[in-house]
Amino acid sequence: MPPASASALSRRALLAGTLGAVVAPLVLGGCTSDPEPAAPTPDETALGFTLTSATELLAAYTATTAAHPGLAPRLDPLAADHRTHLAALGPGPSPSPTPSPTPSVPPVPADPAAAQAALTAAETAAAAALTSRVGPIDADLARTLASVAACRAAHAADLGGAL
Amino acid sequence: MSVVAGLQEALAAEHACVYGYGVAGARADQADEERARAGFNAHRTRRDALEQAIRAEGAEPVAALGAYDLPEPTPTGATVRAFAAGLEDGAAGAYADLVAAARGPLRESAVAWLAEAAVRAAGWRGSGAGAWPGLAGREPT
Repeated sequence: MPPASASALSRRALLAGTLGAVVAPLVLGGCTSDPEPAAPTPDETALGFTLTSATELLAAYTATTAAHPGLAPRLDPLAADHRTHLAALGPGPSPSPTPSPTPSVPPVPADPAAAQAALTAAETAAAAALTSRVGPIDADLARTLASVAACRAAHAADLGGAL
Repeated sequence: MSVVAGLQEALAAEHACVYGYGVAGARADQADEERARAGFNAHRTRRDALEQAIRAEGAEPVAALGAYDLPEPTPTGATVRAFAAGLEDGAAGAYADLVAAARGPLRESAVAWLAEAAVRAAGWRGSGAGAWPGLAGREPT
């Protein structure tokens, strides 16, 4: 087996719990004739939610900055954190790329303060929703996703003027 | 790491925060005094709660050290902010470990405590930017 790159190893280590949970039911399922696809594991559900919500948040930042360029100095460093999360936790380059679904972006309020408040609310909601999903998952994945949730909480505090 | 070991690590971090905030509060600029006082109170309350939780597990809570290393020169004024942010980073790391060690309601609490430390650290730094609170040295790549 060729040696994997350091980053591939790292991602593999992080997702070992998730992948193990995916493979095990497939192997065990070979003993039965059950044709139903396995339900997603809590690890898959939590990681999938993390990626979907990070994509939506990033799209909201992009739309907000396009509508209110004056907010860019405040927003760009926070948007970069979401890009970091997607790059580290996403599936990585695929041999047969499929177009990713375009995230739904709510309309950006015309008032800059209201637009910033909408991002604050989105970060708060995404942090809370992620927090509620880490209870039953693999320990190392839980540590990582808890950090993502904490990052979103810090973003919300920054944008909401609560620092 | 066992749950008790995770709780003890978090308590040790809180002891360090209570000590450090005592120093920070005495040396902070006037504009930062309220932030330092709020942080000191929050960490003291959390320290007491962790001691209770450890006793409830049948273990003896770790004691505070007699003294903690402080940066040289001792932080004053503006450098207090970086020092206090570092205290919060330490607490965030301990709570990230507790997230991994714990299950159920304690894990959920640890996630919230990690977020609180991240928000206080952001307050001292004046920015909420930072992708991986609590994961220093073990960020996924």
